[in-house]
Amino acid sequence: MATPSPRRFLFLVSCSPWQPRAQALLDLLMTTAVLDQEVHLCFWGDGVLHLLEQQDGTDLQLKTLARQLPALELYGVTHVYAEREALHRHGLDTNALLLPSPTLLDQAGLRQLMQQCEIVEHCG
Amino acid sequence: MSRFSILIQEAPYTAQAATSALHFTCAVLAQGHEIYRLFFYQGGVLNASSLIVPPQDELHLPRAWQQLVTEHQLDAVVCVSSALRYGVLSAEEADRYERGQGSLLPGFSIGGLGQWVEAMLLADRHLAFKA
Repeated sequence: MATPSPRRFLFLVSCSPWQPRAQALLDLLMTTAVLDQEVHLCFWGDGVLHLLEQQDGTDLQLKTLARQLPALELYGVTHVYAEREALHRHGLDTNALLLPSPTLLDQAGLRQLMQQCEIVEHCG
Repeated sequence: MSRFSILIQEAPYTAQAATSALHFTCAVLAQGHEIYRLFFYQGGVLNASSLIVPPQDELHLPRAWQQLVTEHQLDAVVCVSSALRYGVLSAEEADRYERGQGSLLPGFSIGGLGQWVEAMLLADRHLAFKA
């Protein structure tokens, strides 16, 4: 495999947990991070529900995707963002999220982030 | 001339995405551009299945992909984890998992997600086709 120069990726998650496409995006994100690319992860809209603590898919016989999120730091994924308004809308306390202290964004902030990243991957 | 990488994420006949991806790829080649890689992911791996038998008056999408891949000698990679999940197995994997014969159409190869990341990085443009 060729070794391309590092690029800046934005992974935008706007689908709620328990959807196969969320797992697919996370797999792609981790592969990208392993290949030494700069990865930014943004939870938007219903995607902020990924940050809810104590998720458990056992009763649904589904893999609990949320358990993989704390490991992202090991992959070098430290740029994590969340939509401020969506957190508020879903009643999520910013001090009790699965990933501590994501950078909170509004529409303008997301627009700026998208402009800064060379490749944007979205699951919604 | 530009170099394109194409991601196909939808199964044939469930949405327009796979058909659109096929037509787009044909158009790219017809315009003299290059396809760096086709990557089939999630349900999209079913586009590489030899087990699909559509009605005779419908486009045989997997066969159309195969024809395009063979004719232009394209690099057509099927994601290994998705392929296993959807039962699109190469002969080697069918043997390994004791599933009789394989179901991957000739012309396609099995690979990992890293090949899609590489394809994004090395192409001038990359497009994802999904519903």
